[in-house]
Amino acid sequence: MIVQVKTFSLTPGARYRTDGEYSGQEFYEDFLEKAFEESIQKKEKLTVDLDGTEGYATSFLDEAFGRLAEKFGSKVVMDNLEIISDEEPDWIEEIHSYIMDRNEK
Amino acid sequence: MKSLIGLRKFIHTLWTEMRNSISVLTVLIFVSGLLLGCVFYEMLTIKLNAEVNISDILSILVTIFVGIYLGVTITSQQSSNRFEKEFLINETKRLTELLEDSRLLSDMTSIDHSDAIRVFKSINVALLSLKNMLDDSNYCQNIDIQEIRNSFQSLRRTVLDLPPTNGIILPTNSNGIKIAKSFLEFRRANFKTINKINVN
Repeated sequence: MIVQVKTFSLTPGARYRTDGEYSGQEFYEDFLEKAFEESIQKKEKLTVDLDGTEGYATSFLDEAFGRLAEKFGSKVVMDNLEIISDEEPDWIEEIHSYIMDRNEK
Repeated sequence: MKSLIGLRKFIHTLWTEMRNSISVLTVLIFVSGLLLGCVFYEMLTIKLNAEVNISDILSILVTIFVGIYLGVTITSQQSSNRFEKEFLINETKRLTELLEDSRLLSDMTSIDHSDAIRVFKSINVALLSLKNMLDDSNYCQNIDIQEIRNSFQSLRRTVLDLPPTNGIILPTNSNGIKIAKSFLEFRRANFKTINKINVN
């Protein structure tokens, strides 16, 4: 399964819905969480494509992927998530650190 | 007889061609050299041996050849090295210029969130391009830009972790100082890399 962030928004915003439109919270709650659950059920890896937007705030990515790790656990997320970021490859390592920092609650 | 006429024609053509291509200055230099040679020959008290050893001639020729070869090769290498360094230094300078030209951090009390995201992406793309160019270079493959990358990521995090209000980040005084410090660290890392490229 593939989730392209550019189909969510070309201008992703900040962390919370209260910070404005297209936040990390909105992306997680309305897209990422469901897509990840579905991919786990199908025993497939979920691919998230970050390319094609105007860029990202660190808070957006931390909220979206950090919350995914809080719900499913860092190991499950690391094992079942693939990130594409050809335009800014350093995001991949950064997102991995967000996932590892925020384990299952 | 025919061959003599042919030789005369050849010499005449050669002289005409030379006359057209040789400047007055060249002739003057040649004649001056000739006169100086005669004067020195008259003044010379050291007797020169009329016989020359073939190994000495070979030695002179090899020395001349090596001299010319080294001169041409080293000059060409230095010029190519300089061109590459200047190009890479300009690409490194561009990283801070992108930030300064955007005037994103000109007012530390009010930063447009969307502009910040766009500017940081353009710097990140330029940083990746610099990394690829260093990898492709002939003389600067050993230059590591990890320090620039780390300081860039730190600056980006310091700015973009702050929550916007109506699309505008309003840093507190302490956050403003953190941003300013991160920016200086980023500039310093760029400066150090430029120095590394220059002395490489």
